[in-house]
Amino acid sequence: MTDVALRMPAVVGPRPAEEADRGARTRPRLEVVSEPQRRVRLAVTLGVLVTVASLFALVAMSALLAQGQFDVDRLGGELEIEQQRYEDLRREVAEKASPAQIIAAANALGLVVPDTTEYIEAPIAAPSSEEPDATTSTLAETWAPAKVSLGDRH
Amino acid sequence: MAVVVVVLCGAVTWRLVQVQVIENDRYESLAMAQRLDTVPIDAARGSVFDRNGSDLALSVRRDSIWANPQVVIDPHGYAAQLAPLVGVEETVLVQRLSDRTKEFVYVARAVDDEVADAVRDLDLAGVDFIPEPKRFYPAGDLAAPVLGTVGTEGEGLGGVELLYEDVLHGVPGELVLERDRDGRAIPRTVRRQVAAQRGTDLVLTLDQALQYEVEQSLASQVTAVAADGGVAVVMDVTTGDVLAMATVLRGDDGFARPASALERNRPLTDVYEPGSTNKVVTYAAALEAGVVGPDTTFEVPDWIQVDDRVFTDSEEHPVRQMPARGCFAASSNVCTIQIGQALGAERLHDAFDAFGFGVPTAIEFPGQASGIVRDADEWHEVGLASAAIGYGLAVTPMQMLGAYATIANGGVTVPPRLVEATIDSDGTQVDRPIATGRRVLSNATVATMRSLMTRVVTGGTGSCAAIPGYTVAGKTGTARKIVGGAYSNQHFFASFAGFAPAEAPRFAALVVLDEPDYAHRYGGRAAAPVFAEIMQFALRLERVAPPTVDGSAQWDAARAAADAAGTNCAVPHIAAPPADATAAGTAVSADSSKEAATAAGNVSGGTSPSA
Repeated sequence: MTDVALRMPAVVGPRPAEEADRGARTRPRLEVVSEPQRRVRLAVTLGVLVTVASLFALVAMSALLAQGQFDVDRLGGELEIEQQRYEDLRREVAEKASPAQIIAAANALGLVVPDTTEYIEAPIAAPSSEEPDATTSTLAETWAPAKVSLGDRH
Repeated sequence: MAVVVVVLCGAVTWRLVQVQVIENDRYESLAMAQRLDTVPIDAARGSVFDRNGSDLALSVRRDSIWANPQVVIDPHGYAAQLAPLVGVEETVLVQRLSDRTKEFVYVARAVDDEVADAVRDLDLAGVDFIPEPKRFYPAGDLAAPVLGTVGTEGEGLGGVELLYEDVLHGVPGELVLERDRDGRAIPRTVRRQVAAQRGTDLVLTLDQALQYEVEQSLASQVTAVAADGGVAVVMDVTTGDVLAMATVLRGDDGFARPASALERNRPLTDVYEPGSTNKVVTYAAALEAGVVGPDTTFEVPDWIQVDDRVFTDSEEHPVRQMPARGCFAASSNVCTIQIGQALGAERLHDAFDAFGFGVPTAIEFPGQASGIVRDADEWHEVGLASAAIGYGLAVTPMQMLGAYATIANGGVTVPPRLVEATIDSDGTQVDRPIATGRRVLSNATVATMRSLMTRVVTGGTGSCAAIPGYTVAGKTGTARKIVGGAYSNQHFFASFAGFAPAEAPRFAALVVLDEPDYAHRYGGRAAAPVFAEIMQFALRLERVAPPTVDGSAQWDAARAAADAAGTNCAVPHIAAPPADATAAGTAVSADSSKEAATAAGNVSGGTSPSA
């Protein structure tokens, strides 16, 4: 095994005769490069490339993380706004559902309390009025799951 | 030169070693402290619901406005701009903003969004905002003395807000994180979070609609009869649930309004001498002991002397032979005293104990009174006679209602309750158990008592308590108040207590009016109409069908009795003007309101049935 190598430019298909004729005038200067030097250069080049790529990757990662944190902050803000909106709407509903407001609205519509109450005897075959009362508690169905979703306040 | 360089290098090296090695921990902690921020996480206060899930109290975040006086350069200018917006006196704001020893002072707390936006538009340096919870009561003063209120820091100050402070306020949490100089969280750094636990919600037994109806009806009657105030309680006798508990006070303008959160919840905190409504206990004890039967006949004059005291019936009458049931319907004091004497002090006192007098009710409530029942050996003759007709002892309205609920519940006591359930921070609803009562009366005694009490409404003193379609059982009470150390002939408690439907009782209610005008001093006239109105509403609200198709028999008889006595049993609905309108002088005066009621034929000045 020889410890040197000849490095020469790549030649694409010239005829040997032409090459020999031209080679006398334009032959490149050949150098003898040692194998360790070539490896060092390759390693340095690769190292620089890796370093630069790593730096870019780090910067990109950092930017992504920062962007992620911004997104988290933004979503947290939106969550608080929506929770605030939920609370405001719940309060508004509660106020509008209060007896005083309902009475006022009913009076505005011309509804009045009757002077007397008349009872009618329902036929035996008539369906009973066992349907759920409109005032039946819906706490278990509505508020309980909502409460869990509301989470904490910052 | 070389020496200098060496010394400098040595100094720098030494300093590096000092910072990085020797005092590493200290500087690291200093740096960390600069970046670390601990953010408190408020625990939202629990809500208070009525039995149907309607919000009675809830917390909503609002902006509080604060300022840093060390940044504020013109306190007077700031105050002049802020005062009209936030509703705080300008001088107060100047004082706060001028205190340069502080870095934080409140300008106004938990303001409305419009106010916060207006202040934000001013763009004042050193003025900022922080969110804080604000307690809202969507139905205004509805059941306010029951609910209580909270202070500026959100702590309960009265009612259930105070009683259940431990569970309502929740458990605050905190978030520890690293922030950059702009206040942004630094990604992938220290972050610890201790989650806050939202406060536990309370589900009360109150029914918002019924509570409103009770308050309105009671307030109208208090206004109409010019009473100082009144209380009313409605209870489900099958569970002990208190469906409505109202306190009404008449203001200086003559109009009665539901009491505010700062007033006492009088059905539980105040005591009164019950007078004739207490006769149910005397009769029930006598029947239970076998001392009398419903048809046991007594010779009843219109007065009786006991020791050095003379007791009279409410109206003069000749000596009569009266059966016990007749004595009860007519609410004869003399006859009841005779029954009490036959029963004896010990057994009557035992009956008071059995019905729960003298001890707080099962409801936990701040400031609840125990009532006053002296030992039987302190009664002597006068004390026994007085106690038999409801004097010489003091009970809370809730205790008195408890006695009626016991009879309605078949002779078994009904421990009342005000909280139906709680809802934990994780949304789990935990129902409170219904307490078991103890038997006080036999079924036979209960049946007799229901019969006696039904007759009071059908043709006795309580005809105004009748309800079309149903049968009502109850008893009137007209008790003299002690004024200046003696029983007054001008100041009374007018009350009515009872239950319905009498055949299968579902609800019991008590109405007490404090010092109605003299013409309306009788419980049958002043309190019974309110009872009828709120009981009718409760029965309709809970869809309690009339037990029999012949349920109007009592109504017809009671109407006839009331008409014969010239009594108008309707509750005049006189709407009180808003309190702020009253303050502005736009309200109608008390006198004019009574004139209006009289003109409408709702207030009768004629003779009424006896107590």
